This record gives sequence, C-alpha cells and structure tokens, in this order.
Amino acid sequence: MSFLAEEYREKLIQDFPALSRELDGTPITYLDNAATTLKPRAMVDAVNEYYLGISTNIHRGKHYAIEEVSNRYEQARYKVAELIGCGGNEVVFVRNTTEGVNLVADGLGVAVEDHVVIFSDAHHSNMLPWLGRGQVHHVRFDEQGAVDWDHYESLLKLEPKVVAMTSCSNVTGIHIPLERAVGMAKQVGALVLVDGAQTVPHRRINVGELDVDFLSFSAHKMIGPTGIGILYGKRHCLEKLRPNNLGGGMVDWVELGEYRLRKIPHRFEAGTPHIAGAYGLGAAIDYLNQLGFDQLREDDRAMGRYMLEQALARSYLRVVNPDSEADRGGVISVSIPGQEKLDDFARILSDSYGVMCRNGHLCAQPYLDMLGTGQVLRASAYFYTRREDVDRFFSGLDEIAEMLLDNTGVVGASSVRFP
Amino acid sequence: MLGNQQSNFERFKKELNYTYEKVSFYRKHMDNAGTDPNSIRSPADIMKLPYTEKKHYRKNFPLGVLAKGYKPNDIRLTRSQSSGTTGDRLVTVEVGMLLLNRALKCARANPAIEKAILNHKRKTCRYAAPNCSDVECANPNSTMEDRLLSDGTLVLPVYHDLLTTSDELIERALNEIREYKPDLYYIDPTHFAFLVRHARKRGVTLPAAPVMATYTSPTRCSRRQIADMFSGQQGVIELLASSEMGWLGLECPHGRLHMNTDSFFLEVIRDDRYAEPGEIGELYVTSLDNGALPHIRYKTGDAIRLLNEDCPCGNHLPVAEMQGRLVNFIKRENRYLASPQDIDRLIDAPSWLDQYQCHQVDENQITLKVLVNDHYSEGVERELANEVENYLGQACVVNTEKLTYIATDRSGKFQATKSEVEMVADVETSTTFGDAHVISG
Repeated sequence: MSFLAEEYREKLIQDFPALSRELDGTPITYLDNAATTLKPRAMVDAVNEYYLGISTNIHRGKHYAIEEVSNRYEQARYKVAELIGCGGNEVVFVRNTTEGVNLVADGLGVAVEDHVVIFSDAHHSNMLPWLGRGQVHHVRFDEQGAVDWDHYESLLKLEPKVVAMTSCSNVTGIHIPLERAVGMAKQVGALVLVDGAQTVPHRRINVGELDVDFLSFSAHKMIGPTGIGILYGKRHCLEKLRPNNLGGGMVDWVELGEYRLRKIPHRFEAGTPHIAGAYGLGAAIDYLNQLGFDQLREDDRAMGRYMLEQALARSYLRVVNPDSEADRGGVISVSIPGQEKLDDFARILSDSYGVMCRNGHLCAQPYLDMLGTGQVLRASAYFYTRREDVDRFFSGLDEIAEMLLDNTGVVGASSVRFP
Repeated sequence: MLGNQQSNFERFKKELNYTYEKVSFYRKHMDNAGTDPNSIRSPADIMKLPYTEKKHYRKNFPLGVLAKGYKPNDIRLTRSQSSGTTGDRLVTVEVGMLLLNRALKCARANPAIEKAILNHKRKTCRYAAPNCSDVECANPNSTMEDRLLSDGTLVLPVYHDLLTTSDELIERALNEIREYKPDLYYIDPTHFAFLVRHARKRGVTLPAAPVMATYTSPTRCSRRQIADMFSGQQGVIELLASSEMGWLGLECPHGRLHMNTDSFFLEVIRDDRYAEPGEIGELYVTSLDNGALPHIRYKTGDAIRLLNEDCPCGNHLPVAEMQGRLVNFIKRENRYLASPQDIDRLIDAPSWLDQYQCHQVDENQITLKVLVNDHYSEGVERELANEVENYLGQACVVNTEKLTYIATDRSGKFQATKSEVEMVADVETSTTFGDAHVISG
C-alpha cells in the first residue's frame, strides 16, 4: 500500500484545469470524487473531437463519416470490455449506473414469488429499482456499519432469483470481499448484479473471473463524461433481458404490429446514444490505463488509511464503520454526535476554506438511519488528491467545530427571522 | 451620502473603530488598503476606505466577519440564508433586536406598516421564492403547520419556478390566506401579482391587509394587479431590504421611498464620486449599531436615484427612487443605458399585460416577452417595443414574444428587466453611468 510519487501526482494534476480554479481567491480542494470526479483535458478534447468533427450519427446509412464515428463509438465499447474482462457484445451503453440497474431490474421479469436479496448499505440506485419486484430482503449490517455475513447466508437459503450488491460503499469507501459475496450467491443459483460505481474507477474488476452476471458503473466517476454509463451483462443474461426502451437502432426488422430485436448489445441502445460520451469514455479509460490500475488501487488504499487515521484522531468525530482492517479506499464519512444537520459545516468548508465535500445522507439514507448518525460529511479522494488536501479538510473542520460546537451541542443561530 | 452628514459621520466613525477592533477580516481588509480608522477625519475621507462585497462575507463567514464576543450559536442572533438576487449565496446573522430596531426606524415612514410591525400578535403571510425561507414551501406535501414560523409568519406554498406552480398549490395558498387572515402580506410582488390573478379568476377576494413588497422591486404592472384586489388601501408598499442588513428603505403613503439613514450610513456612488441629487448611483451601506456582523461600505449592487425633495408625508428620512440591480441595467459599450426602473416606466401597466420581461440578450438585441390577458389585442406589444427602442436611441433592436411562460431566475426571483451583457471592470471609467438618469419621473 503506497501513495503515488508526489512529483508524479503533481504532473497529473496539471491535466485537470478545474484544480487551478479559485473560489473567492482561495484555491479549491475537491473532495467530492465519490459523487463525480474532475475531468482531464484529454477526455474533454476527445468529446470535442466528436462535436467539432463531422458529428454524424452511428450505425445508420453508409456514408464515410458514419463509419468513422461508429468505429470510434464501438472502440470505446471494446475498451470497456478489455477493462472488465468480457466480450464487446456484453457491454451496453446506458446513461449511468442507475439506468443500468433499472434496466436489469425491469427486464429480468422478477415474479411476485421470487426472492430478491439486496444489501442495506446500497446507494438508492441499487435499492429502489428492486423494491416492489418479488419479495425483497435486506442484508443487515452491524452497529459499526459492517456486513452481517451470517444474515446474508441465512437469506441465501431462500434461494433468491437475484442478489444485488454494492462492491464498494459510497458512504464508507470499504470494498466488500466480492469473490466471497458473489461466490455465496452463485452457490444457490442466484443471478448477481454488482453496483461497481465506486470500484471500477479505482480497481480492476474482472467479471469473468468473478462470475458476475451484471455489473453497472458510470463514466463520470472515472474522469469520463456525464451521461454515459456501462451495463455489463453475461451474453446469455442479456439475451434474456427485456429492453425497456423501444425505438430506432435496436431492431432488425419492423412491420406494422411486430418487430425483431437487434442482436445484443444494440437492442438496449434505442435512439441516438451519447456518441460524444463514448469518445470521452474511451479517452478516460486510456488515461487510467496509462496511469495503471495497480497504482490507482494502492494509492486509493493508502489514502483510505490516511483519512481514517486523521478522522480517528479527532474525538468530536464519529467515523461510519471505522474498521481499520477493512479493505478501504479514499472515502471517509463522519458524523458529529448531537448534530443532525451538517449543512453549516459543509457550507463553511466550501466558502471559507475552498474545500468541496459532500454532506447529507449520500443517497444511502436507510443505511445511515440504521446507524443513527443523521447527516454525515464525506470526503472522497481520487489520484489527483494530495494528502495536504485531506489535511485542509480536517484542519478546516477543527476550526469550524471549535467555532460552532458548544456545550449544548447546538449549532447555528435561530432560524426565526423578522420580516 | 444621505441624511444628516455630521451626526451620521460620528456614528460612522464609531462603527469603523468598532469593526476595526472586533472583526478580523475588516482589520486585514483595511490594512491591505493601507488605511486605518485614524485616517478618516472628515466625511470626505470615507472614500479612501475600501468597500466590502458579498464575497468577502461569504468567504469569511463566520470566523472572520463575526465581531469578537459573538459565536454563530448565540441565541441573540437571527440567521438569514439567501441564494441572493443574483443567485450568489450567502449566510448571514445579526442580533435580532438590532434588526428589529432597524425595521422599526424604517417603518416610521409608513403608518400602516408601523402599526402592523408593532402588533406583537402579528400574523404575516409570506409569498415569495421558496429558497427565500427556511421552510419547505415548495414541497406539495408540506402543511400549514410545517410552514408556520415562530414569529407568526405563514410561508405560503409556491414552486421555485413561479409560473409552473400547480393549480393545487395555488388553491392551497389562497385557502390558507383566507384561513389565516393575515394582518400583513410580506411578498415578492411578481409572485403575489401571479397569485392575485389566479384569485380573481376564481372569484376569490383576499382579506385586506397592508401589502409590503420586497425581494424584487414592484413593476407598475404588478402594482396595478395587486391594487385592483386591495382597493381602499395603499396597493403595494415597497420595502428595500436585504438579508444582510435588514430594512434599508420603505415607501410612504405618498409613494416615495424613504431611506433608513437613522439606522445606516448610506452612500450613493457614481463613477467613483458621490452622486448628485437626481443622479443614479450604486448604494453602499454601513451599519451603525455595533452589531454582531457589522458592514462597512457594503457595495449592494442596487442602484438608486437620489431625490432632493421634501416629501408631503412629513417623514424626515431622505427620499430616493429604486432603479434596480446594476447587473440588470441595459448596457452597451461598457455604459449603462437604462435602468430596470426606466424600462418599467416605459412599459407602464396597460390593462392587457399580466407580466413582462425585457431581456437584453447581447449588446444589440433585446427581447420583450409578454404574458397577456383577455384585454390584449394583436400587436400592442410592438408599440411598447418601439418605445423601448426609441428610448435607447435605436442602439438595440427590441424583438417581441407573446408567451404563456417565462422562467424565473435560479434564485427563484423574477427580474422584469435583465441583461446578459457584463460590464468590463478593468475598462470602467468615469462615464459608465452615461445618461442613465436622464428620464425624470
């Protein structure tokens, strides 16, 4: 576990114009990477290449530009396939992780009597699409926020049709042992969907080796553009999946009253897709490959450890799942006992210190409610995050806490206003 | 500067000393400008002091701008959170009693408002952009209880994008007003005119109470619609206020805006000098009451025109005319051509017009968008556009659009005149205001 060499990191930082921005004269410190990462110039150039070129459609007609653009679009698909170890026809371009999960949940044809097992730490995007589909069971977590494996095992005895899991929590940054979790589900014959939104940007997932049936993730969390995401599905799983969007580009033949679906994955990409997004995604993958996923993983782990140490050194903070043995990435969420809302902390960190982090329930409200934390503050890093950035977050937090916290634990002034 | 120069100058100096001693940001700000309180010996010296802007208070809140001795959780403080007229957010606090005193001094300009404010059991209905309040008034599931503030203000439900407010929410707001029976309406005039239009369509009469309009300056068109609903009382009473400072000016029964020089040291700056009576300039405000978050020469971004006249109402506070936000002035070649007030005077309040927006798209083009009613006849909006074109000396082409929807700003406020043209700071010269004051009332 080691950090990237600082000189190398500084060189990478130069690729991200946003990191030279200031807020009211203060340089910004961007620690909201679990929500979305910043974008390097090379990725934006690739997006522009499409829009400033002959920005034609794909797979429709025979003119030269269509072929050129279609090739680039499909190249991006192959890059994804190589990244996660699958066939090119097993990669579906969707809008984002959420749409990928919805496509599966909607298209599997889950019957009322089917059991579905989901994990309670899930982002809402891997929870809400399953609700109301079959009999849904939630894997419990202990009071620290860690998976209750015994409970998971007991739920698997129901022989669920689907197990939907999150490979890395967007709240804690902790990666579950995916091989174990997937293996247990496969033993009972379940289809496994993995929300990989927080993992794929940092670590390689090989879907073939893991025997995952579906994997969904987003380009924008891995220095790619917004509006394009990826749903991987095993070939035979995609063949059985019902498309939820119908229209142009996803059919081979249409007559009044009936149609024949195109082969996978195109049958899931109705209408004109986000072509420029595919260009950008391809460039983002190139960038990350050049950096090296082994380095990315180790830097992420080192940052996770560093963030945990910093948080645990502060008695006024409570870390969500502080397990120091867990396989942790560069994400830390903390609550402040007695403070239901942390809006002021986040606002002052931003406006006075230039530190941009996230506060709230992080789209994982049931998980945080279960832990009784109320709102949390989350700092999340990526490879362009320096340790000093994390230091700035914590030292700013210290100063704000000193200012805002008092013996009563009440923060902020009265909200009553004179008209 | 406005008001009694000498006595206010003494108070200004006290506030300056207090701020320099107690507020770390301002001490640094003055030091960086190479000045200190001792160098301010006469009113003429005030121009040497650096001004402050919203960004200073946002960046330094609360650690750098709260006076020593105060903490943000001080129970004496009242907090205000605003997205701001320009969408530029700010959190601010001040001692509640000081805000009350400022309001009371200002309220003397209008007996109806003063009476309402002095009523400790006052019931206020607020109808304005949702993010101007701390409650979920845009949430269709919220109840009256959810939206009732402890000072007796009922925040009425409305959507962020005003004209998309659902019939259900309009109905609820009208019902709640009738149930609550307010003795003061505290409203954004565009929003309230919208509600009044819908009340009239439904044949609903709203209970009489003074209507105090703030958040945005009332257009003549909004005034007409509100006045029609509340005949027998002063239709709309304009309040110039800000989240940061509280009440800065109030319209008297004679329709004049009286500036609150009892509570503030007010300067009107035009091209790096004090504006003369009749001229338009930017309002700079200095607090005078040694509060928790003192402001020195706070650049408001609001433009006013000084009127050197006694008001028949007898109130001693000086009279001015609100011109609108400087960013919303019609501009060309780094000069202000017309204020939102100038445009409003040209548009006036024809019976066929419900709402308008004069939107300067670029230096050469303006779009006049109109929402009309049953009194409309084909092409009348073109006549208005011609008037605006003529006023601007044919500098801009004014196109017209008759619409059923005009979006509000991201702040939730609706600017009747807005401009996409920006002034370039580094070429700002002594002529930026140009002839923007030429039209007289």
